[in-house]
Amino acid sequence: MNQTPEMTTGSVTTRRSFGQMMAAWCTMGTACLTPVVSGFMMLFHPLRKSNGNGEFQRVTDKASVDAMTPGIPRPFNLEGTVNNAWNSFPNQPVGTIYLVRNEAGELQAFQAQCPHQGCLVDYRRDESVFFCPCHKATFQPSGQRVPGVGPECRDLDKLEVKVQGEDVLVRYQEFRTGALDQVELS
Amino acid sequence: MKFLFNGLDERTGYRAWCSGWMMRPLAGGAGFKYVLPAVLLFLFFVEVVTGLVLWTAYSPSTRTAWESIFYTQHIMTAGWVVRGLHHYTNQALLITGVLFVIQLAITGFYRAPRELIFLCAVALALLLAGLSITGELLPWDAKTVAAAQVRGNIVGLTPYMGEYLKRMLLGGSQFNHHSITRFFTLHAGILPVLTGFVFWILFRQFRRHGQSASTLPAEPYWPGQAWRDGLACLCVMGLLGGVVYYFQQTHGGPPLYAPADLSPDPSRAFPSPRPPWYFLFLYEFLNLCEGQEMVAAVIVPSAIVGFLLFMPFLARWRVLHVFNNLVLIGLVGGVLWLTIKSVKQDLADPAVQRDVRIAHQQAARAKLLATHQPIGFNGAIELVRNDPLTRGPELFKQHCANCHRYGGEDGLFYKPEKLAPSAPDLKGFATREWLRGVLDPKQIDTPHYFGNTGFNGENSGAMVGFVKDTVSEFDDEAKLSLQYALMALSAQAKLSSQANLDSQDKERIAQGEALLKDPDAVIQCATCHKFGDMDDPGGGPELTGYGSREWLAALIRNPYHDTFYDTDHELYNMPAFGSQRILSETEIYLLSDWLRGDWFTPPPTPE
Repeated sequence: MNQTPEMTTGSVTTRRSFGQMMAAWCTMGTACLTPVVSGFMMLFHPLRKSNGNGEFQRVTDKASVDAMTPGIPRPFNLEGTVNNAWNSFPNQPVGTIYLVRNEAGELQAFQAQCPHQGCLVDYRRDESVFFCPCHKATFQPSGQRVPGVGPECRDLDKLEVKVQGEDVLVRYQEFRTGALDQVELS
Repeated sequence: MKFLFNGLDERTGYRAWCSGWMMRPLAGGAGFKYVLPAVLLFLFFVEVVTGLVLWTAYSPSTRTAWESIFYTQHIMTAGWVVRGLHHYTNQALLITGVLFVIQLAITGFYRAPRELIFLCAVALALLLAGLSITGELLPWDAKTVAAAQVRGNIVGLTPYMGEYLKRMLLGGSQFNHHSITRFFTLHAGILPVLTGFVFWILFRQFRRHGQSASTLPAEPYWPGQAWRDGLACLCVMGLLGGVVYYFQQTHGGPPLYAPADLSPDPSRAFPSPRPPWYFLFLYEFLNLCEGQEMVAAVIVPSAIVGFLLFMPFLARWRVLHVFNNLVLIGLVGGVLWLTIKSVKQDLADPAVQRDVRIAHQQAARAKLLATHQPIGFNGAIELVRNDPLTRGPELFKQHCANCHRYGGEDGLFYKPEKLAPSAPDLKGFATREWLRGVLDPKQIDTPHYFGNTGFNGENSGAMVGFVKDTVSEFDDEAKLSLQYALMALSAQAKLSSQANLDSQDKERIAQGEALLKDPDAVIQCATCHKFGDMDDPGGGPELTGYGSREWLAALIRNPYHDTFYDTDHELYNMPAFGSQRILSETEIYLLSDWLRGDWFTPPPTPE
């Protein structure tokens, strides 16, 4: 292999060529890292914590809740500002909750998103259950999962609800789906 | 000219490269059994060309994606051909990729030293699956977004880093503009480049190891194998052209459902989302492993891919080669079985079929609106959200159908059989036919009208009592008066479906109006109901403007207002949807318009 006699063979590393190798690695490496690192920083932007949801907001009047038949849930759509990357849309539906008064007269609020995969559950009056169309998860009007039907998941997510004067207020939150315990999304 | 090419060859040596490539020897000679790699590459070429063209017309954001695809598909010249080819070629690619993997394994070609060819084939199949998943979301229609939401949640289940992975994929904790731009980057940038790279390795490997392990005499690629490859590609192209044309004629092109609505409102949620047919087996497998999402969605598929990657190394031993192929056949059989099972189940499930029907109906409606109405900055979703024909039935189902019915159904084709209605059926409300039923002694006390309400015969409802006791005794003259009054009342609604009837019967309606106001008339309406400028006698709802847009909206807003049922709440379950803030003003008018049959209809096209 004498065709390239002027080249330093691999086994002999002079101090000078070592310095050149280091210089090559460092210069090219640093030069290439600049776009790559800044690029990754931008890609990781969504990992920044956004503002958590969950201020109490007015849903309806006390009188209309009092008029509800016990044990029969009723859906309410909540409105608010929806932020979508560079857009912000005011007065948009932000979520749906079910309010139900149990036999004892106690008022309960449920997140309409199925705790399994986040599809929206539908209250079926003729079967007296909440039913999820995605994987057939089924819940009692009390929010308890009907065991043995559909996938294993937690009960419907309860939301904090309170009556203040003439208003019914709910703290709207969304939770991580699939988990067996309730973890709030941040 | 020749001088130029000579010069180019001198500087690049392209002639030697080309002839080296074209004249490469194929062990065992040419044959149709070797066409699959060429067909794969050709189909990928089709995807790249059509994809680049689609890119020129695509706008990735949640308020422009559906709209730009709609425009491509339905307005642009040959848009349906390009999008159709792109859509169906993807499926052909997936099928060819899988066939290629199977062929390499079954023929034993994947043995050393050609393992890398097999690994490339598996990598291609996976990349093509990735291209399908990312591409599926780009039209941003209701079905694909609903399915992707479920998929995003499955990603979120990954232990420890699920939530981070999901955020990285969606560009936020929920679907937003950046979900599209990210998927688009993967679909049109990263994955195609990777796929091209794998193709390059694959063909370098073919060059190095030949296309078969045969020891028979070799034959150059050109032209023996070349024409076979050409014929195969042409056949596939012809088939795809046929498929595109067929689906254009029968289904109006590849699926494009209504624009996705990100609002988490159950009445707006896409019902029963399913993945496209080629991923149904995964969906069904997930259902089979109830509650074991991690196992079904991550562990088992990873194990299978891992096994596939190991197959060529195991095949050194003949027994294991046979074992490999048995597993492969088992896998293919399993996929087919799961797919058929899933399709069969859905076909046999009336709830799913109903949902499919709703989805198709809403898709057709959205496209009709987008065709005839201007799409503004906020996108086509604004047209859909303000369309009574789309929103009316959804709102009716969610808020009214627990008590009322619409033609016996809940507004969206479901007949609640276990639960009797406790309020009137509102299909055709305020039409002459509907009112004739109210005034018919045989019908008024049935569940279709007031039979199960708080003012039925059992509860001595005044109206039911009047119709059953008094109207049933009417003589012919009184019956005629009643008929005129009925026409006048129905005309108050100004229903578009009755516009002709109303103008035909102008004189009778005028007589009827006089009868409605006359407290001494034999039909007695004015003894309970206010009509026009008379004083309110108290009792029944006011009949001025009965069934009109405003009258109906006011009733939905608050049925206990003085002009309606100013009676004791206990008898009536109906909530005051407006004053209790259950429905917004917009929603109340959407319901009222839908019940009255008032929605946009396109102008008739001139023949």
